[in-house]
Amino acid sequence: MHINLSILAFITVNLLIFLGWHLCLCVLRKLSTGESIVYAGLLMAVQIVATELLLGMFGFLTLTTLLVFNLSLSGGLLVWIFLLRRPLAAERLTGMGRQVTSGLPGVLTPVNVALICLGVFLTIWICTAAYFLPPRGIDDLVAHLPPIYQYVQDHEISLLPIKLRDQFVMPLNGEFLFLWPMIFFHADTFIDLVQYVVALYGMLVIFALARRFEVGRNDAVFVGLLFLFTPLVLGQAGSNYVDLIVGVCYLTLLYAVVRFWQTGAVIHLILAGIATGFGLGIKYNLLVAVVAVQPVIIARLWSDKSLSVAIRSYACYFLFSLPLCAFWFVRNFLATGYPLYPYQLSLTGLHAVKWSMTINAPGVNSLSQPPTSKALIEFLRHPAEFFLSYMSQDPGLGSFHGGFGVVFWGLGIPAIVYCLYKAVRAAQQRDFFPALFWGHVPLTFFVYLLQITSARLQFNQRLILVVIGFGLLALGVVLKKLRAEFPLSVPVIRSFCLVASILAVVHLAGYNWPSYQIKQPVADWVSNKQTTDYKYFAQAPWDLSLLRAAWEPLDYLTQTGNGWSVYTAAPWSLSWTAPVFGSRIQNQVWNFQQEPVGFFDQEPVGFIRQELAENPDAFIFHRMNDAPLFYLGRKITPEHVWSDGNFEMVTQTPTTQFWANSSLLLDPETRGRLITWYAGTFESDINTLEFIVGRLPDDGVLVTASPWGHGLKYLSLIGTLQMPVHIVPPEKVRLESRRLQANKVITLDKPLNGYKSKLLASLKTADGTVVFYENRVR
Amino acid sequence: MDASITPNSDLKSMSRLLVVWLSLGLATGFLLWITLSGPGELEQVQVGLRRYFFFLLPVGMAAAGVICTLLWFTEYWLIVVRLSAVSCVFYLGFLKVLGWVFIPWVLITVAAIGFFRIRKLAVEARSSLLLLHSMGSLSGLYMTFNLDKFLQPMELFMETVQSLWLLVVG
Repeated sequence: MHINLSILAFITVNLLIFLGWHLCLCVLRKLSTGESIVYAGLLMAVQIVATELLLGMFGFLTLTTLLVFNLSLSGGLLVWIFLLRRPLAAERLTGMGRQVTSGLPGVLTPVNVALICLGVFLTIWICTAAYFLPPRGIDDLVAHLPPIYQYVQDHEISLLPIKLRDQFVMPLNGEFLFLWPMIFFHADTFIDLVQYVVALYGMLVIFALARRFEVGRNDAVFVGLLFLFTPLVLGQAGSNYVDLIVGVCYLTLLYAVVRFWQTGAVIHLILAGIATGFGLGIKYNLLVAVVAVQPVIIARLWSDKSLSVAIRSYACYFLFSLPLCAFWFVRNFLATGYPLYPYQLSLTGLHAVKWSMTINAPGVNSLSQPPTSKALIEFLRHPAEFFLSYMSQDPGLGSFHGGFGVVFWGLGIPAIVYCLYKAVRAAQQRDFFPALFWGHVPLTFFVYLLQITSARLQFNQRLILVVIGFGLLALGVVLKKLRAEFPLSVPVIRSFCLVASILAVVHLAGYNWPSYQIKQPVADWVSNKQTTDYKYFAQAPWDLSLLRAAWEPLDYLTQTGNGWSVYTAAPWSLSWTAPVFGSRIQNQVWNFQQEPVGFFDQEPVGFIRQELAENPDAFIFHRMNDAPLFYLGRKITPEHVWSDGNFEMVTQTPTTQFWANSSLLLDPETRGRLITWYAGTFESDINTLEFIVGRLPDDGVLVTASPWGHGLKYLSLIGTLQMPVHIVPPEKVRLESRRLQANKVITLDKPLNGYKSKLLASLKTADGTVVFYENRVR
Repeated sequence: MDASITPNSDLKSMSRLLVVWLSLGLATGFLLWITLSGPGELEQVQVGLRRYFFFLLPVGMAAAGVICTLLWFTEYWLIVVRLSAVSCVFYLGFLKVLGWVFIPWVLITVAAIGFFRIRKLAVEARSSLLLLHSMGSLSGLYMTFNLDKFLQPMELFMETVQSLWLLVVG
């Protein structure tokens, strides 16, 4: 009930913000429906991010202040419109309503209706996945989420140690959109929906753009809907990567620029400025777009305005672009010496000045590929082969990394080529706008292939996600042409796209990066066996399924109370900190409070927290082969934790150890949760062990490094097994036994050296025989 | 004769265009595949959809070639069909498998010359035709390589549908 009310409140607040801007734009200027929705969507996102940024800069980033700010602003706008401009707003809204209702019958063609139905199904699926599954994209956990989790805890914008990840320094406007539902619910439950909402907004932007290219309403809706069913968009939609946000922002910027070209009205230039600033504050790669739109803006200003008016208008564009991006660049300059850290911008492109990977993982240097392996060089050498293999392989298909899909490669590319051809023809007749607009596509590919190595294509297609929008727009233009010349081919193309969209949705079920499989979570929910979302890291790739052995119990144990301060250490490449915060952002990463945040060896600069953290409540260690552990803040090893004696091992696998302070585990509620978690996770082990527990003595202690220890610990906690159970690292069984000074020690698998041992019991299981030894002090 | 290929001509002709278009799309897609593959490579193709395409398409396209030729003799839509018939010769691209790598390129050149010799056709209609051809070709090529990837998770997809249904009823 509580969560339902919260969802309702969240939707209401968002609608209020959107409505405020929508009405405001309607009053200021007579706009089309698509135009007002696109701009209101942009301004809504900007308002949310700007208020978070402002409050975060001054240390007031709390839900209350955020709501007060946003509701005051939007409420103020609505009151102003209601009191002073009500007739005008009503008239224009009525006009829009009429426009929509009159256009609706022409839009609801069988293919569009089928796509909408598919979209409804997809929405239900994605919402379900977002609700049940944790954030699970690798960069989500590594770089995108930890900073905003920290901001919510600290109520201010801080800088996490860039020694761990350079990405902590990068602009975070996109992540601030994730912060919005996260601070509202104080949980990560709905943050995986943010990019999906952006994808829905992207549909509207493409629809609105297509309308500006005189594509019929029916086909404009069609190409807009197709955006949602692009494999890459589907992959990105459930992740916390920001490539979809930046791609849609690029399209919005283009929309404003197109409208400025068409009308010359400064309001479009102002909105282009806002989109520029917002986009630059999301990801550096929007620099290419910003550079590419300048000729359009300048050419338009040049064409019909006096120099002074043109300069004033351009200054207006520039000034409106500053607020949302300047903070990040200035902060980075102060903290690292480079505004675009870890890059430096030169005439030849973006160059890495320093990269934590090269420092922390010697030998893994993704930046030092020989220049011959650049994709552009390969393309120039073998253009036909490169293009055809690039297209047929569709790098990254089936993940959030890539996969432009058959609609782009099969239909979009020829359509773009056609639009480019028409643009060149138009330029010959001194109409340069089409060339300036469609020129974005070759430029985007050129810069991308220039920067990227062929081997990385499958991981980085997302960086040029915007070309999907161009492809769909071009398809709309071509459909308009074909309707005139070969009308019967249009239904064939549209039906083919529908089939491709259905296939894309089917394909989504097989995604691993990220996984959208909901079978297990739904089964748990139906059988009331839900514990924590982190359980479903089990169906995630990389090492997430292994590392969940620590994250899952940590999250479940700390879901009530004030959370724990957790120390974590892992090989650098496995230092993924987001899950340590927990699904309700309840825990603190102890390491972050101890590490200087400045530029490697420099003194701490900027927003460092000066106070010393208390000792950690828990420790998590991950291992991968023989890779050395990367320590942040202070070097505390598993040896130190065991020696301290105040910590109890909750769970242990060959890759992961999770220790918690024994006193915290004595808390009845925590203890109850631990019992529940053991019961759910090791159910089959427990069922097996129950056969033998009666043959174990009541006195003494059980010390083990065996995986069976978890089940035995459960039986001990519920009292079925009378003796205490100590789970320890494999090399500590004997030392722990000595430290406990018990006369009788039970061990598994092998007897203790230096003790008088006897075989107590053996248990045959599917995985082999488990042998219990009784060891007595000689 | 040109009247039959001008915009909005009779639907009968248009439907023929679609048959030709689809056939050509798949045909050219297949040709590109053959062009890209090395000698002997096709024998190593895994059993499955690609091999299915490998065996089915030549047969299908040979039939398409016959249909195109018949249409040609009926004197409907002369130019388009002539082009289509020429395109069907692309299937000799099979010779690539034998190691005669130059053959497909020669055929592409011959077809391209044939295409541009059609002077009577309006430029706009010609560009539309070219667009349709390339769309069909590239879509065919893409699906030849990727259709199995899209269909592979069908079982998982059905599980997802069942889970969503379970949520509704449970």
